[in-house]
Amino acid sequence: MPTPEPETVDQLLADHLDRADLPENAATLVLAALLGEDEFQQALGGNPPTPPPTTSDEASKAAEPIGTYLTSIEVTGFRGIGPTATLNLKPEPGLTIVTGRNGSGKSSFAEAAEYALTGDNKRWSGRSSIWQDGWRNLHAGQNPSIRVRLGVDGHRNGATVEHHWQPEDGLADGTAFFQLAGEPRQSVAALGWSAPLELYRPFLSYAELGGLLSGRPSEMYDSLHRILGLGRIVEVETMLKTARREMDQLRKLPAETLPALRTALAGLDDERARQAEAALAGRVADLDQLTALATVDSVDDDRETIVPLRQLDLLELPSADEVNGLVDRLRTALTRIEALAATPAETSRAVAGLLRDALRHHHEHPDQPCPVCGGRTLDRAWADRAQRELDRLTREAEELEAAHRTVAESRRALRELVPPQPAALAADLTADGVTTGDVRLAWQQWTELAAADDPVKVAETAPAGYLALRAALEPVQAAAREALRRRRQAWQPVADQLRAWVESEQAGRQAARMYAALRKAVTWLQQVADEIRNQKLAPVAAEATGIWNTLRQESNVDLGGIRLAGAGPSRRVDLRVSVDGVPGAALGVMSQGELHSLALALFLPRATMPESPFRFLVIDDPVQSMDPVKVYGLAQVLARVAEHRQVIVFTHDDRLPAAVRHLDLHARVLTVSRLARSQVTVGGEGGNPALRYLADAKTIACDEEMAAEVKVPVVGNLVRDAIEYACHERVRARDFRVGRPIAKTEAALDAVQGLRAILALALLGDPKRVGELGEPLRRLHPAAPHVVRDANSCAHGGGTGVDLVRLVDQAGPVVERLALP
Amino acid sequence: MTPQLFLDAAARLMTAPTPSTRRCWQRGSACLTRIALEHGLRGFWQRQAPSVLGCRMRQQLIVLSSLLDAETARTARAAWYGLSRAMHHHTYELAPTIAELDNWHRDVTRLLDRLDNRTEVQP
Repeated sequence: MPTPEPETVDQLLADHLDRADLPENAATLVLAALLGEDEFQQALGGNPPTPPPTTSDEASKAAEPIGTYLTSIEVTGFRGIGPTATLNLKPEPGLTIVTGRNGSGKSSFAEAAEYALTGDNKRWSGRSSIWQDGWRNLHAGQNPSIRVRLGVDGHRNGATVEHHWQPEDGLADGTAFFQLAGEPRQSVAALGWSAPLELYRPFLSYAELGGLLSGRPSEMYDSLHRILGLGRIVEVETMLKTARREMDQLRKLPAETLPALRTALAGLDDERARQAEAALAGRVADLDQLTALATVDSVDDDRETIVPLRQLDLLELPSADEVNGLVDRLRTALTRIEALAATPAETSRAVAGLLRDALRHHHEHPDQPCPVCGGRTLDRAWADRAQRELDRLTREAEELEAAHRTVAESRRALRELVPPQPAALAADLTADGVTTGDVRLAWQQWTELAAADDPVKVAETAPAGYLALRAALEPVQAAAREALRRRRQAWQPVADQLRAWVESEQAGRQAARMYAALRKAVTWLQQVADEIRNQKLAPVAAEATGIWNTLRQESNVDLGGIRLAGAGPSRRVDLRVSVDGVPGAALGVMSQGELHSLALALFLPRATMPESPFRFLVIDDPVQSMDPVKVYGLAQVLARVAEHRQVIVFTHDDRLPAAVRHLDLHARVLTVSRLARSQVTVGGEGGNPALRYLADAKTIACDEEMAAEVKVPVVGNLVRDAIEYACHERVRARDFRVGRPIAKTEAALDAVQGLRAILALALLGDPKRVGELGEPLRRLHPAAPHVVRDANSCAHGGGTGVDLVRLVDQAGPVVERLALP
Repeated sequence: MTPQLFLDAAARLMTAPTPSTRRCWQRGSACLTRIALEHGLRGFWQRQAPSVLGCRMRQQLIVLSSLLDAETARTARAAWYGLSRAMHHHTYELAPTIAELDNWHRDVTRLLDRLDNRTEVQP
């Protein structure tokens, strides 16, 4: 029995990881993968997981489960069994051999138990529907059903798994339930056996034994892998490999999309495109620069066209109202000047000065005659009049001045109202569809106009000049705006593309780092996995090798070791087999029987793992192609397993029971036989066949109802069988003592025909010395000569007048004496 | 007891064994079938070739092929050897199955008919 492996695969991996010579990020990834998918994804994104949780959960899970034994298998109308037949078993460790000829229905018990507990049967699954449809026994008067009683550790009355079918049900349609004694029915799934059944399948049929080694090498690998709990490694490896593939794609993606980006940039007449190309040109793209380019609206360096276009876009002329307002002011002032100009200005100024002097004179010398003309007296009335005239003249002079000022101001305002011709108009923008010739001319004209000497001309031409400028500018601005819009439109998708590429390149760089780490991690894991595999396999392999060495008996095939090797499709189980001491031999050199023995050697450790809840083991016909010698080995192996497990072996002949008898191993032997109409009966424990034959003979001899003519040959036959069996055993025991090979003994026994010949072999050591039998028979027992004679003649239909009861009674001591050495 | 009565007894063991034959009906049935065959042959020799009567069965079966068609002789041989094997204890061999017994029984029944057609033997 393999010792329980205390360490889980996770723990083993973590231990290896501690000692591993792995880059930090690779180790982190393996650890994260062990923790789970989420943690792993986070680690891939660059966030290492938190330290591993405690492993107490797993430890409790690994505890030995509640053991289950088979108590009985009751079958109705299923496969070879018609009316209800029950196979009673002892729910405890021990070897039970159920014998029955092919077709007796013994395998139906095994299949029924397997079907009831697993909902499947390896022998049929994958077979054609003929097999699946033929499950129903046609001789059953009742609906098919299977009832498997289980002995469960800790449940006094055990449990039952039942399967029932209605008349029209297909195999899969039946109803099944599981019930602990005294508790409500539950679904069979409540047993929680689906995983253990997969791992430790306690059922093994002949066909499976053959398949175990002759199937695809990967199947045996997978099977061993599962029972050793190594699926975990595969899981982690798959996680790492999947990530590795994804990272590989991610890291290559930027390079794949780069040509498209380059083409897009090249097709763009934009300074940003040039800069982006420059940023991409290096061995390592300048991502910061590219990000900046993708997000800015324009670049300052693009002065030649973008700046003028943008200036044109922003350019704003004063409104027509403003222009007209100024022109009106100018005109008004000019009109006023014209009106005032009727009086010559100098004259007015001179008169005003004269009047001002006269008034000052009058003020100092009132009422004096005019000193200039000497005429009238400059009296008060004159002074008033003169003062008024002076005021008028002064006012007019001021008005005129004001008008002149207004004219000057208006002209300046008009000149300043429209900005000087912008430099933007001087740029060559024809490439963008902007022609500035007209507006430049209009602007020039305006400038000239506003600066003209004659204010009247300015007032007359300004409104028209403004309108002309405006009319010329509007299409230019529209064209500039359109050009800007076009540029934005062309750039936007490329900017998006650029941004996306930058993101993908950033992801790609992270992916490239992760890819490198993952590659190291996967390589490491594969190496370590090999170690862990074989570490976990070691106890099982040792067990299998031990079993093989017991089983093989006289085989010249030596099983050195078992290794799990290869990976992927080439994964296989390496069996270090040497034939006649020559290593490296292939399985091909082994006989079918040897292969089966080897398969059994591999199966038994699997089915007897301590983690398995199954304390029983059902093996259907393991001896089929084994030679008799190997059966002895098998009997020993089974008896050893039976010390801790309930082993139920179905077999179609007497070789295994015989081996058990010869080796004096402890086993129960049950016999299954099938009468007409699929009536299957299970005989009780056989014990010594000779005594069984005699017991049967005695009951028939005493049977009052049976006709004497029928009784005589049957009883004679049974007595003869008992003596023959006793002779066989005597010969075997004798040969065994002197160390004669079992195969030779069996061949010699097989060659002997007839009761007297076998007696001669048993008593005289030579089947040919039939004629000398008289004396040895008498020495054996006084009744022996006539017991032999009567048995023979009765068996052949003679023996009239023989006292059958007495014959059987006397045969007893003869058989007993034969059994003594 | 006629061969037919042995055959009937053998058939009864196959279909409805008495409680006493619960474990040994196979060998019993084989034994009775063989006796039926041997008795049938004895009647045949008495009628056809009395000199063969004392011979061992092995020889009787060889002679049979010269008096009857090869097919019948072959069936007789196969049945007798099969039945003989079935009613002896053999290492590693379990009792015969119902199908085997049934086949032998049918063969012997047909054989007895065949032998009867050639003779008017009284038991």
